[in-house]
Amino acid sequence: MGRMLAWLDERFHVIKPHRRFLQRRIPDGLNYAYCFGGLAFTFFLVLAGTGLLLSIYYIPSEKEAYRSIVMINETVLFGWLIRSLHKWAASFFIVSIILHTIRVFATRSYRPPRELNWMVGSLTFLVAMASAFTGYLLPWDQRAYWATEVGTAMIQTIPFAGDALMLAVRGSNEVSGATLIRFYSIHVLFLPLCMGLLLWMHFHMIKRQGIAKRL
Amino acid sequence: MERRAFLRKAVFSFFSLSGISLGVAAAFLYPARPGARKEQDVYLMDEDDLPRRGVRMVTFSVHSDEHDVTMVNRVFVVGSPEGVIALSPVCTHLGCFVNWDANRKEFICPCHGAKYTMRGEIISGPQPRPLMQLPLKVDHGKVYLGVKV
Repeated sequence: MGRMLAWLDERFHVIKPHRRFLQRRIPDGLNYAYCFGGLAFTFFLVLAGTGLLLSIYYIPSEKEAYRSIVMINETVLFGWLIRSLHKWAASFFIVSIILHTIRVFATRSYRPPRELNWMVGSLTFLVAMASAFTGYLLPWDQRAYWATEVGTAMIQTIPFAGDALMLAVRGSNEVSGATLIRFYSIHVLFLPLCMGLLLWMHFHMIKRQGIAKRL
Repeated sequence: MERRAFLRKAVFSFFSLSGISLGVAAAFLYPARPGARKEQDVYLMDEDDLPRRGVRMVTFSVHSDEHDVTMVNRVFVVGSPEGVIALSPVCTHLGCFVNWDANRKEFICPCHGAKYTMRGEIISGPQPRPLMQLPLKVDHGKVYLGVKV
């Protein structure tokens, strides 16, 4: 391990530039409550990894979505494991974000000069919730269908623009195959892209400003 | 525990876990072994319509329960003094469908020019094996073809 790193460093000088952010100063008195952000990011990495794997077998079509889920669970080697990891990591991802938010709120770390990071963090939470909502439809079973039917119907209650917005989300008057492929695309392309950008901003800001001192 | 020892262990665990994860991912990605294909008898034609001398291309459709699709296929029914046989139209070179050239009395593959006799034997070309024969069955005046679905 050490020799491999030395070999790399001799040629590319990798150690010095990485020291800057691997060996950062952190304030005294930090505790495990400060780990929730990192924990959430770990779950995000698990979600990204298992999600990439699931996309190999999942078929986002009205006729075959449910069948492909059953196939992943029963036929594919470790399919049940990968799908369960994705499902549970999603739940724990949301929980970790909430705990992280509570910690930031409790230690008042949102105050200037970190207000922009709080906003980006809030957007991250919204993107995570949107990912959860769109991912929930993909198994295409009764629970998924009706959850989305009810969830998207709420959009209709927005004054004036409600009907148009709901049609934009569903892609048709009812939750249908059009909704399924729409949600699939949003779930695996749009939202992860947004999430990656937001997290990049989140981490760069914390790198610049450092962790807030405990009160 | 000393800091350095702890870090060493942490790095070791990280790479072990990553290795295991990669193994699981590889197993997950490896395609599931498809189930053995079952032989199925498909009705082709009536016994009276069998060609005594010559080649007839017959189109038939089979339903695959596993994939829930109906596939349309074709087969050459060849009649000659040696008897009636069914020849698969799939060229044994790279799998194109061969055509029957009635003037030359040869099966000719349009892709790379493989040539077969009327009974599927090799004349010339890149193909390693003669055309595959499919089992024919006659039952109560009806002709059935055995295909694997």
